Amino acid sequence: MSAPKILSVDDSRMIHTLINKGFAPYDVQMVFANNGAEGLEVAAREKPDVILLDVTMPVMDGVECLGKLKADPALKDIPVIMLTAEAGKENVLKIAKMGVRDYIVKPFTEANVIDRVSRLVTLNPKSAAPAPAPVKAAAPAAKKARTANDALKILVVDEHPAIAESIAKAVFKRGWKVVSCPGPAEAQPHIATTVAADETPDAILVSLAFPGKGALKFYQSVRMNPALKSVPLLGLSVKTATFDQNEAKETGYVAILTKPLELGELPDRVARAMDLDITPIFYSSEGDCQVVTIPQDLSETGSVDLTRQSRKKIADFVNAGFAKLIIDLNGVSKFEIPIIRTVASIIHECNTLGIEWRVVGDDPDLSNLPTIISTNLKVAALKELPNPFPNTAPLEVHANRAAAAAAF
Amino acid sequence: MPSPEKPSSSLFIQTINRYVPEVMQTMVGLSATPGVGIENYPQPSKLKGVTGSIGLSGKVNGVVYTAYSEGLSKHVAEKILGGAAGEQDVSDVVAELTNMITGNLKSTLCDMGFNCTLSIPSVMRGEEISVSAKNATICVGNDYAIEGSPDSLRVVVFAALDN
Repeated sequence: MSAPKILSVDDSRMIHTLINKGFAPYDVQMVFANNGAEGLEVAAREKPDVILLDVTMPVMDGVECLGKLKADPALKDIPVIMLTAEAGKENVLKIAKMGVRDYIVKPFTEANVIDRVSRLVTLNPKSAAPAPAPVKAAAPAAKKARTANDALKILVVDEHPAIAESIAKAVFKRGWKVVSCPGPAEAQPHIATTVAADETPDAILVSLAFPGKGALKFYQSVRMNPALKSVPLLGLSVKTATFDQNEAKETGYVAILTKPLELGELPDRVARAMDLDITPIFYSSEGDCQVVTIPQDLSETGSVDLTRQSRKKIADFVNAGFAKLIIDLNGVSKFEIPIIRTVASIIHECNTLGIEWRVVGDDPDLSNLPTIISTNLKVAALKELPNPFPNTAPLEVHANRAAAAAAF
Repeated sequence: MPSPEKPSSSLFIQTINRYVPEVMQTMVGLSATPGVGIENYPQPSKLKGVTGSIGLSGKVNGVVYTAYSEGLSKHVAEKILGGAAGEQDVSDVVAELTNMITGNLKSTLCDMGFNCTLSIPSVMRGEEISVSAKNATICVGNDYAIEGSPDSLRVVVFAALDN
């Protein structure tokens, strides 16, 4: 695949220099134009993969140029990112209506531009650019999706050791390893070591309280390293520091975890940031049955993600020829919203796809599951859910998996 | 519909006090510490060194000036570009930084209902650049101490608001 071509349209040589410098570590072809009219010519000639477009320019400004790009059938599908110091609501709405893909507010960092462009095209580090033959010949073409059961490495950059300790405790049951550094100055050499050893962290959690915009500078330094361009960074912040949180989100932090940390939610928030497949935690096989085990401590985030991922998982069962699912609710004694959401969705999915299901549990109340679910579907958080039960007749609940399997 | 609240002189100073340090820190990596700010900046006034200017026209009419000493402008340009900066490079950097500061000021004004458009930045050099704006009701200015430089960056805004 050829290197992506990026066109920068700006009347400022300073901007061209900064953009060129920012993309220097990547295998890209840079092309430049000094105003909108020149930008249209270069776009028609070079057919770039992405256009970075300034707004205020002589000869033809960015808004007019964008309009002409979108009116040209040969150019209209090229994604355009506007670079503008004019981020007022009206201006943003105007350019959004014209079909701009994204916009970056000036002043900007090189890391910010790279981050936005990498959402539209694949950026490969220059060192890996030639790659005519795969380094690992046996490696599959597509990278295997990571799961929450993988041995993942989390780097925590926080001045308070107690924070790293509590995060380590929270993710321990997932088998993830936590390494902590008290500040960006200590984290930088640690990260350099991990890059050299091909042991880069899978996620980085950073306190937003470091002075002098330390967390933002740290983000930029991480993103400047091509080996770390896809590692998610999450901010750690007290609830009231909303300015820091917004600034961090604008910089590129994918999520903010507020202190005091909700340790029950934390592993699932981190898993979501890493886009992990969490179903291996809950699903297993027993003979010709598939089993999903729902724990009492299922978090809200975990419930939403498990519900979403279960749709694909159950469809995969059907494709693979399985037709029986055991829903194991042993240990569940309190039907909280996360559990109701997940169980109702899984049963609905099974009904839709024609998979037979049985419920296992030790709580006598479980036979009232149809009533419990239909009552709770009136709650705002669940009102979008379909009711998987046609009526509230009591459910047959099995004492263990063997009994449930025998009942199919 | 009620007419929008008019931006005051102190709002202009607050706005430039927010964006000048942000632009200098993000683009140049240098801190810019605001001085006290002057709400009745005299006009005409004299600026010197390398001065960027951008006009505002619409519901706000006026000019934003950013004045650097020769030494400071060269220092800033070389820090941004990562190497020696010639006169043209310095002008280009001063123009772009002026554009970023003014663009953000414009966004604040537009969000308050005072829409305006910006002119293309221009850069002047001289020891006695006289600046003024006829009918300006907003005349504000402030000096910013730039990290590692004996010279300050001066930002002056002259503006008249539509009734």
